[in-house]
Amino acid sequence: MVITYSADEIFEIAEEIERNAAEFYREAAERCSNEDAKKLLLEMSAIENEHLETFQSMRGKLSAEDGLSIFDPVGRSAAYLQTMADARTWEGRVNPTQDLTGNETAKEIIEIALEAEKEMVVFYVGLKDMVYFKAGKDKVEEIIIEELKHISALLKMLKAFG
Amino acid sequence: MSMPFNADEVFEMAEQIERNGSKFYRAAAEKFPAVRDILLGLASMEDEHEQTFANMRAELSGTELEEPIFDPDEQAQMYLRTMADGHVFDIKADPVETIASKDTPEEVLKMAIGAERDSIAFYVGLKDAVSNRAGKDKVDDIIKEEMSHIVTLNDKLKDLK
Repeated sequence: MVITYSADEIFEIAEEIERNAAEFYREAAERCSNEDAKKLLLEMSAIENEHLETFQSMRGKLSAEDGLSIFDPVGRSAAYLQTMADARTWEGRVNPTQDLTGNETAKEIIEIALEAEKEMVVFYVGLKDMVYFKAGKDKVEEIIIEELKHISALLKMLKAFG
Repeated sequence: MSMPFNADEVFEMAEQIERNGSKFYRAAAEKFPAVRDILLGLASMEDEHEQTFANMRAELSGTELEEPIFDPDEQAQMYLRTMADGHVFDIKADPVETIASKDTPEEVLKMAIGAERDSIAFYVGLKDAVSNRAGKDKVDDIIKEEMSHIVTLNDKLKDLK
């Protein structure tokens, strides 16, 4: 499969993922009555906003040429990014906030967040392969590690809920 | 924090994830003929991954995971331990039983996509916790193959719609 998205578009998707995640965590915190969970969700929202800025900055540094093509356009990561980018439209799932009905328990909110974090990790693993300048790879790796920490924190919270 | 994961424990868990994966795909293939060939193909790949992890485990048996470069506070090991404690991977659960409640190929494909994503999330932590000598590249290859499984499953899901 040859990827039909440009580097610019893939970064745009990454920005959208972070914007949605920050909104989801903020919204989830507002709906959450458990104080510990609320605090965790707000902290995560702030970190997702930082990630958004990182991706915006990286996208801004792409040259016009970078924006038109992508490294390794037929590789496995490219195929994955293509599928995930397509999935946003055919499955209509663009924002985890859509999954919130307002009737969730704190535990259910954490479970939705956990699924969203895993999706982010896998998308960024593909994205990292597409970035061919080392400084950029390192930044994506830092973001992946922060998302892994989020998964750890969410799992601990789930465990506390029993 | 100091509760280092033994390499044996981590790779044993990775092997079990793969074993469960192939068992799941074979049982699902039997139940849903419409997606049989794809699922049997994925089962074979999970068998190969299990063998890769078994080989890595044999080479590293008894050693501790090396200190990850990025992670002086052992965050990667803490991550793996949290992932391993049963909330994401209940490796004792029988994968065949999880299929019993699925009535359509679509349901089983969506379930498989979720399971692949869980595996990748675990292996990304695993990759960061092992050194180049221990086979970081091999873990990376397996991550990429699991990503290609998601592509395959998503494509099939689209075909069924």
